[in-house]
Amino acid sequence: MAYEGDDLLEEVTGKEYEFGFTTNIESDKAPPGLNEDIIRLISSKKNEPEWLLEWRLDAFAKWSEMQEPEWAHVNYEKPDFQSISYYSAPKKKPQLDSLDDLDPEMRATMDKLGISIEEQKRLSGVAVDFVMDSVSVATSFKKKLGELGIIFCSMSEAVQEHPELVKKYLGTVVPKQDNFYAALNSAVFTDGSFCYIPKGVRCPMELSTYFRINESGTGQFERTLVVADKGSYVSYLEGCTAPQRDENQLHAAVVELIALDEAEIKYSTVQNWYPGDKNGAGGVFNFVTKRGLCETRSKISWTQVETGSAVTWKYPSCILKGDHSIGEFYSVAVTNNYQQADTGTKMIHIGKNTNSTIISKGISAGKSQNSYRGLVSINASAKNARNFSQCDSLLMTDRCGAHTFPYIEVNNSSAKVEHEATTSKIGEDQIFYCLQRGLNEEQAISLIVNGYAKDVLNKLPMEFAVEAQKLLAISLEGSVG
Amino acid sequence: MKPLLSINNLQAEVEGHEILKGLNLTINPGEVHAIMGPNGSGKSTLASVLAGNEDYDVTGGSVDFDGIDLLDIDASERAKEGLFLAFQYPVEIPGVSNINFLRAALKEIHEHKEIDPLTAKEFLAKVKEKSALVELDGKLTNRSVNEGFSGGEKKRNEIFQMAMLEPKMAILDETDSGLDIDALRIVAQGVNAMRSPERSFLLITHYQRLLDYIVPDFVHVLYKGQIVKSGPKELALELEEKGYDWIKEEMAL
Amino acid sequence: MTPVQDHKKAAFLEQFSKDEEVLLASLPHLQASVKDALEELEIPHRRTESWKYTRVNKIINKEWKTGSSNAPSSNSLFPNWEGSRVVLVNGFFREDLSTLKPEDGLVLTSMKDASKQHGEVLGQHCASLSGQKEELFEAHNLAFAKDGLFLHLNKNAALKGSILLENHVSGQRTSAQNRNLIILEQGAQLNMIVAHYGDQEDPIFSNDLSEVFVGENAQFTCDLVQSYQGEEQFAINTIWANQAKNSRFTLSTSTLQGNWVRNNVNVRVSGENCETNLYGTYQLRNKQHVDNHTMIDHKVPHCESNEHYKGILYDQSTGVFNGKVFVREDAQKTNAFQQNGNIVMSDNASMNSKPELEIYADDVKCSHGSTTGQFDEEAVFYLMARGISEQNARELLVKAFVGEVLEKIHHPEVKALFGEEE
Repeated sequence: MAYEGDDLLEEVTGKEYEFGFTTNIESDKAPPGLNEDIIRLISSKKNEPEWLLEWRLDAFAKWSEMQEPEWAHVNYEKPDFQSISYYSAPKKKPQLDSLDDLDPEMRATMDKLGISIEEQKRLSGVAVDFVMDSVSVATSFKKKLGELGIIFCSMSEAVQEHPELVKKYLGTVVPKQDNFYAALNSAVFTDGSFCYIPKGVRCPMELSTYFRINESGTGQFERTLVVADKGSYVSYLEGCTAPQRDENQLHAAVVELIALDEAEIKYSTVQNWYPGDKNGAGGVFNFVTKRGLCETRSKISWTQVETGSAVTWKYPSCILKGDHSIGEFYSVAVTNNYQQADTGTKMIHIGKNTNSTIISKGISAGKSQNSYRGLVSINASAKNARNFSQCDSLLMTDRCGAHTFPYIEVNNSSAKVEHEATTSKIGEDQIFYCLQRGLNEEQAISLIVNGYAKDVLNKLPMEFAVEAQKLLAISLEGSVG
Repeated sequence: MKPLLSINNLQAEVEGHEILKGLNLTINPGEVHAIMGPNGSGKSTLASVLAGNEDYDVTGGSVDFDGIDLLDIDASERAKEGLFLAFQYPVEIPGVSNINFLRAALKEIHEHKEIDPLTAKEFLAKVKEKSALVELDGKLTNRSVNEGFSGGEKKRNEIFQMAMLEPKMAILDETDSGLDIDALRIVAQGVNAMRSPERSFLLITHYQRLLDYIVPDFVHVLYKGQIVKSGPKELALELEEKGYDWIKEEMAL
Repeated sequence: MTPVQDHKKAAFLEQFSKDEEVLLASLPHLQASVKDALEELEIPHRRTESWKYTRVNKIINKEWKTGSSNAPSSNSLFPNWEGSRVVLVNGFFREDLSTLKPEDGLVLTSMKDASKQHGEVLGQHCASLSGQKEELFEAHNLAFAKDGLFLHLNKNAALKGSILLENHVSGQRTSAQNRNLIILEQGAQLNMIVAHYGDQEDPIFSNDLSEVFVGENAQFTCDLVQSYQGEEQFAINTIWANQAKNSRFTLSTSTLQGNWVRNNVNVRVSGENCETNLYGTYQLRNKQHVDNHTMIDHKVPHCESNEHYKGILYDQSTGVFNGKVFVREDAQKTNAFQQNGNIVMSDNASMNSKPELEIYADDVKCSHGSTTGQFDEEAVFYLMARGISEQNARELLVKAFVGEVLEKIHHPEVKALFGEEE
């Protein structure tokens, strides 16, 4: 096996290799392929401490022995991990002279989303003075957070500036060997976000990667770590509604949340990666591991609106370790054309009187496949644990699929677990009723779908919710069969 | 006369909150007592504690019921001794039919009293007679206990059960709440038909309205877990007119 | 597969392969695929999705011998049964213990005889539904089954009464693998009680498989009762059914006792306007383990399925429910309902429930639900406050809880096993 060969090579060349390697690379982009040297390169480029390099190498060793999972209800051609380049220096988006240079389809979508001209320019990387404004906003924002002791920065920065916090919490919720993609991410992650809210502090604004992305660009292997110290509160927004194209097909992010005693984290995501064209060609593979740990009387709430990606594999989860802790999962997943989504959540009840709620609304259109997969596990120690799950599927055409795979494991007599699921077609009578009242078909569908997804959309921060509503409508345009 | 129920310095708490703080009350056979009081004064707690709900912890005091230490026996034994509680919120029990449930209850009560059980014919005759008393539709008696009953039907079902089980003492916990005048009249008519020199009633209510229909011998005011004022039936009218504030003021003095 | 597993599997299968009288000998067209399947299929383990919550090591690692064909049968749950009674002991059809009432249009005989006298029908149907290529234990059954019940109902034949099929397994370390074939031609009607007994305390391993063909307009109703009394008794009960149009298939499964029971019920709905009903109850005590796997495959439009399983888990028992409903692309206007309810009575008991829907058609109404919890203590208190003792109150609520499923049982003789008064 090639891996053994690499091992051998390293043994022969020994330590010299470790130090000498980086200077040998002139380009700022690593050659395709993954081996220990590439990991050493990444770590060294980022000037990481020794422990983090060891951590990455250990993750790589574990990943090398793992199999790519096949249990999800998705079909795709597996990526060739040796043909991916795992490191390239952060670079600016290609600059366009004017919006006219932008893909007209993308521009039309932005118009429908109601994104302002300036915003469109900023998002698509058109060089204008406006960008300066954006930077200044971000700066004043950072100052305000700093006064409260809140740390919100890129992961690379956190490794340099707050190594003790990173070392203490990194990998504690999603261990490096957790699963195939998490192990890969642990070995090669290049950047991401770090957030720490000190004891008793209520973060006064919604933290958003929106601001940070401008500074360093998103990575293919993002790593996010949010720590809410005792009694603190933070609401965190990830992603944005504007369509995001990316040359990288594979995205394998890891998000870890830690809510210490009586802390609360609200984590909202709108995911709109490029889903591929109408024939199913191209599109992003989104294989994400998201998990939160709840200590005593703490609360973690995941809210997600997923409309993008060709293949999605994602289960934001809560480990309810502390007594009286609360986990919530609210999700709307839309699939259209040839998209495939296998998403859901895991609620692991360990502490007493822990409580979890799952509301999942799947919408399938085109020839897409949309699956809910969830685990509710009540350990013997989780006395009086409660769970309520509602998983509904809405079918827009006769060519798509909607599937529900809930796993319910109850190991004590004081727990109460309820799961309900329904699958039905979008009501033709409802559409007709709307048409008869003068709406057009798109408006009617938008109205009905937003009503169907209301329980979840209501959990999003206000301005996000409005955009998400429009996004749902756009994702489903012309989808009724 | 030997009292039927005598409550002495009763103290109780729920989830660590003290609700009853040394309550005293004596009820003689044949008497109708009404307990009134503002929200949160402990009225429903008193009903639950007397019926033996284990969510409430009795932390002190004693209750004697017809010579028996009531607090020493469980809810089922209390019912067999002749204590009946008409619930404020009667629970729905899917799958258990009203009729089978009453038959099971009567059978156990009769066994306890060493009385011969009713034959099926006698039982059905009794069901017919007693359900007529509260104008309960025959169909409802065949349905699952309280399942799909309207609020008024649930309350009438409680009185119907009381008539079937013929207790020595009945506690009516806010039986009037949520009832319209017609339903209230029917419930009252059922209770009045049950009045006798041996049987006592404890009416727990927020409003004086019920007492127009079921006239009490005594009215008590419960406030902060204690009975702070007792009087004849006119006290209820006074409370209706003046509210509870004057009691609070009197207490503060 | 690891060499250790390979070795274990070989050792396990070795015990069965000693004689030539297997039904497979008369089914040459299946022999090659069975051989391949036994070689290729893995022993189910924790990561085998369909066996996630049920371990089979205890079966694989123990020694078994083929049971005697003339062992006695023990007590019946239906001693006063007056209709036809078919008795199988250790998987062998026992004419001497059976009471058969001939009826028009009914062929009822042993599979061994049928392989000679009705070879063509048997050859056409046998193993045409079952999943011997996917499931090791189904391949095992097909490879080693020697006998079973063959039942054929002619067009429009409707029996006067129900047929009782009793399966006894007894004798130390006995394994029994019988294979039943039930064919209802167009318009035929059949009501059955199928009882399984693990006699006495003997360690046994029973791997029983039935294929049921429900013809056009035909109706099949079956109440399955399981009573395995011994601690070291392992039972796999597999049913495969196919429904032609306008047919009805109704099955109830009541596990009265069983230390290790795995039930597989698979129904392929191949014709339009069919009705499929699956019901089940289990009340498990001590260390009992019961795993109910069901699959309803809606392939065509305008069909309806109802599924309702309810159970109560006491002591250290464990329960599994895995219900899968497929609605294929063309199966528009399907109505599928699935419900699993459980009450866990002890902190040492556990329940794993996995109700699944896989839907590829849009004009459907499908729902499923799963609840796991405990008694409504308010209801217990309410009953007690009316003079019913705590124990009686709880018993009343147990009955009320499973009552919803018990009332779907067709035969009063089976209902009576639960102390139901009618």
